[in-house]
Amino acid sequence: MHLNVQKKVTRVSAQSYTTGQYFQLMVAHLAMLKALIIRDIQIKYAQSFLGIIWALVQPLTALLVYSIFFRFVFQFESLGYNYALYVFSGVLPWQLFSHALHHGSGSLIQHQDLVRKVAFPKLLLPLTKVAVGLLEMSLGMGILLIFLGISGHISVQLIALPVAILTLVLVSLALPVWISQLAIRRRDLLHILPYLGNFGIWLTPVFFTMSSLPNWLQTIVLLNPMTGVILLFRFALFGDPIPALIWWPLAITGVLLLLGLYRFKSFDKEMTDHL
Amino acid sequence: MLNVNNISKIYGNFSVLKDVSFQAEAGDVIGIIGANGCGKSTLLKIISGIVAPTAGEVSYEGALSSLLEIGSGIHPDLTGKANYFLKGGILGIGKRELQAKYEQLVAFTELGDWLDQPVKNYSNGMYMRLAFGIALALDADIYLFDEILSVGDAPFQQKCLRTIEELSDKGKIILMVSHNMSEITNHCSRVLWLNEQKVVLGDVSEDIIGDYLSSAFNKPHDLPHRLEDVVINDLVLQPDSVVTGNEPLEIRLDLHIAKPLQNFQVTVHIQDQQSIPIFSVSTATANDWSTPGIGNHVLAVTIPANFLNQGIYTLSFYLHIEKQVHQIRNLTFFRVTDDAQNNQLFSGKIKTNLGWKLK
Repeated sequence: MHLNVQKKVTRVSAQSYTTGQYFQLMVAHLAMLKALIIRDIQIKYAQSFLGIIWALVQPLTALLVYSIFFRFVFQFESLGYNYALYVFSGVLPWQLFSHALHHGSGSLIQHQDLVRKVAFPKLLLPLTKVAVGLLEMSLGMGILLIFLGISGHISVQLIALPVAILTLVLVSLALPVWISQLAIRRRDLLHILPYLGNFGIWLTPVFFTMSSLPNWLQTIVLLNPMTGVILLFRFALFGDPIPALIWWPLAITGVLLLLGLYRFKSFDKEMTDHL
Repeated sequence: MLNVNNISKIYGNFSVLKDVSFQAEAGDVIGIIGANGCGKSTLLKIISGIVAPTAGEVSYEGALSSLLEIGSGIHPDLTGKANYFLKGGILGIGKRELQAKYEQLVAFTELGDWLDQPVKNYSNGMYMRLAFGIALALDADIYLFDEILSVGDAPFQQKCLRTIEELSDKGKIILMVSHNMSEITNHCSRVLWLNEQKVVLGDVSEDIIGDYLSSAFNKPHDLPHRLEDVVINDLVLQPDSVVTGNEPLEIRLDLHIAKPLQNFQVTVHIQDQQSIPIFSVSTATANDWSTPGIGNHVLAVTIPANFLNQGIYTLSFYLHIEKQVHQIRNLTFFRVTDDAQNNQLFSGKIKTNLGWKLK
């Protein structure tokens, strides 16, 4: 006979989670997060012959297209570094942001079968989308670093790359955390996303440099938190200067993210009722 | 030990569950019964933590595994094996444990090489085996099953029921929603009846099931039904509301027409217990139908013997009176039983024998 076998006691009630409880719940579901990420990737590449290699083909072709385009069409070589790599260093973070925005914002609705059948902290769903975007970006980032290394551009600023990536992840989470929970009741929000994405890329220095803009437009573009993110990447990879003005939009985005996370955990138990 | 204390659930203005309380001990197999929409599924979802209650608390010790709908979280493009590992991961089972239990899944599901095929190529029964197998892979203390046995073939159903008994012998708690009273009487130790006015929990006995059957099947909800010009006095199902499929079933409607009518049509809809339409019979397509005059009338339609497969069905009526349509939905239930030897050869709701010929 086993004596005093203590089993975990679970309680289900109407009370919404405290921050501590929600954090514990997230930690207890890390294995599920991993499974969701693997599932997303498996589904994306299931039954395709090349499978996961496609994730590598896509950034490589993008890089090839930029090289041809900027070398022969725009003839931008005068800047002193490979312009294709420079643009690519902006495209990669933008792609993660855009992936998180599109897939993360609709994640609760997309996976409503799961929400209605399995008990888990729903924050895992937008997190999964950001994580998948991050994995795909790291392939492109690897390619970028290899090419930068070959052309001898790597400098000591590269140690700032993890900071740039972390900032990118946090900024990419902010909108999906808000939109995913609000879209449960107002699905119209999901229809705005394509405009947000298409419009946003032209307010972000992905395809242009800040110095090529007139002063008034520079100020507007600097208000965009993704500008700050991309300038951090350009600092780490190309040694570009960081304007002091980028920290304000980033700080505000951080506050918005925290508020969004707080509302998300308070609303978590009710979500199933509205889906 | 499972404690359910004063659970209530309100959606908008609509109260689904009101003050539901019960306790379950190790080894209990509790059958949950009740009419459609009485909150059986909601209760299971609250216990498993998917839906939050409006008031009340559930507490239990140990792990809980719930199979609330066949195929939830199973992805059609992935193989059975990939789905097993993914769903297991989603349920919080470690990879090593899943690996160790994989042989058990292979043995239980009898799917063999099919486990390496994408799930979209599976038949309904195979899908069902995989889903049930995955739910059993989680070594839980409490298992919740929502009408899982309503799909799948007879041998597999028997296997599932044996598994449920084994789990009970090991001291697990099992809660299962079922519309099949023989499942409840043969395999449950207790029965929880969610009735609009009250929750009845008791040992499985003829009494409680008899009460449930008579409340669910023999009491047409709102007859006599008074419309402007037509009064439906009675609805009779013959020979009884629990009918054997091997005999014809007559649906008879007694009605009184108060005013002269230009147009009067009746359509009866038969739906299964998941509210999926099975067929309808309308006077509009009847050969020798003429609008009845003032007075008392009896309308009758006969469902031939060996036509409906075994199961529970609901009856709804649509009355077309002049230009208006009146719906009387889910007027009553009836259960078709079938003791023919070959009954498992018919899948679906309609038993037809269109007659294969060797040409």
